[in-house]
Amino acid sequence: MTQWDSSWPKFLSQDERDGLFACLGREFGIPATILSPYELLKTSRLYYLLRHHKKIDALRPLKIQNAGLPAIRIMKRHLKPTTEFIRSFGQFFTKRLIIVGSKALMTIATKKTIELSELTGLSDLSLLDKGRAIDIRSISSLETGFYLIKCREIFWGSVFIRDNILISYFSKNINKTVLSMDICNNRLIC
Amino acid sequence: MSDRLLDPFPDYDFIPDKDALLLHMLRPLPSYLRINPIYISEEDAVEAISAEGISLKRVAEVPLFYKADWDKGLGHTLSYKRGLFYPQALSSAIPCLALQPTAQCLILDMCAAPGGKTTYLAALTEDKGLIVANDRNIRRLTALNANIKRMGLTSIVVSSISGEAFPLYSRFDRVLVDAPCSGEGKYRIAPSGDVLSKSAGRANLPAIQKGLIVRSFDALAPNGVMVYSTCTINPLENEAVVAYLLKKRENAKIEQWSSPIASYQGLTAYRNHIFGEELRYAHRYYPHKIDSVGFFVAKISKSG
Ligand SMILES: C[S@@+](CC[C@H](N)C(=O)[O-])C[C@H]1O[C@@H](n2cnc3c(N)ncnc32)[C@H](O)[C@@H]1O
Repeated sequence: MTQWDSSWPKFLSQDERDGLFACLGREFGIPATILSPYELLKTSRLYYLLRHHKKIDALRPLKIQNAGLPAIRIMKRHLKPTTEFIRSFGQFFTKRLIIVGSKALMTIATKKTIELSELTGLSDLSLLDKGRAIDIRSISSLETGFYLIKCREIFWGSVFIRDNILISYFSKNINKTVLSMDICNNRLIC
Repeated sequence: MSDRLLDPFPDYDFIPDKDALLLHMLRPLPSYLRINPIYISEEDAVEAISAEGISLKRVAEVPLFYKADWDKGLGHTLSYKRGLFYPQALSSAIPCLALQPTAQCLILDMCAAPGGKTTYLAALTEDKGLIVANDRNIRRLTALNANIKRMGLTSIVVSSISGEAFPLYSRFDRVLVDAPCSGEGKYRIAPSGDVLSKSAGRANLPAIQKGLIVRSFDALAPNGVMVYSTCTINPLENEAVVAYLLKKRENAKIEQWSSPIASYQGLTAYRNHIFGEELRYAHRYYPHKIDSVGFFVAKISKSG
């Protein structure tokens, strides 16, 4: 069969897929079956999701710019789900999902680095762990890694937590959006 | 409207109720948006958008389209940033519907940026088809990629190849050629009498369009379907281009197709140009008849 044009990211082999799914399952509690309809492609820093299609081989010789949706970034030893991935698949995360109130959301959008205790002082924070919501104050130390932030049923982005310090990875656009929102009246509008 | 000085189309006697068109051009076009059902259901998206104060009225004939009553920019809303919708002219849906894409299809969108039709094709195939979104202009790919990401689509591959030289080793079941054009279907008349949205390009558009339509047809698999569309009224960029293809490729045939919104038959002749009887199966959309951007759509099949 024709080789893939060199412009294509590398398709993950079955072993590599299994490895990545195991990792996503361990860190975020995503069931592997959720991603089985997709091809996974990899560049040095990013995994892409491309819907599996029986005619994909017809595109092997095509010189492309990019393929599929940027899904997971490789950040040293950690995996960071992209905002687009979170929006589509956030509902399947059963771990590392933090549910925050509006004031905590505002604080995350304002500051790059925040002590976790500063947030718990503002509003209730619960952590979804193995599908159960736990009050964050009852946990002495959170596992190091990326966490999703959900507020009012919306997935906003991710943060990195180490030693109870939170580093925001919200995009500039999301920060701007959050800060321009009218949350005083309990409404989420820009 | 008797002041012919304002008429940007003095040669187009074929436009029905032309005076009504000129009057229509004096006011801005209404806003439409298309719901993106990828993240949440259509109903939930409508609820979220409405909660921001945007009043939506569903267009029953065109899947996922709504007329939006909102005087500020739709692009500044939270729902837009969340990827819940794409602001899009109603008529821009028509080429995609004419193409009748299915999840089994390998689809080529030859002139795709900024991605209004690509992302609609993905929605119509529930993001399960395989779409190559191509555009020659690499700078316009930024907007195309941003829209694909914002809408969370996983069935799209992006390429940047000049359409006239698109390689022919992969044959597509569906090809959309939404060609670069003079954009007359978008013209509006300012109170000063100036014509707005007029493009300044001096390119020989019919020559580019003819190159694109023939190559796109060649990229089509036997029994495949192609749609040629523009947002212009100019017959030399529309019927003349399709007639050129029919002359060049004898296995090309214009298909009859019933449009979900008001349309007029394609022209069979214009001034001293004879296009042929089959061109009447093409569809013309006039802004004043549909209250949206004017369009031309021809559905073409390739025999085996
Ligand atoms: C009418 S616009 C396409 C709009 C797009 N289909 C949408 O719905 O958002 C025409 C596009 O054709 C591209 N284009 C112009 N000449 C081209 C060529 N020779 N090959 C491929 N694309 C071309 C332009 O860069 C432009 O983005």
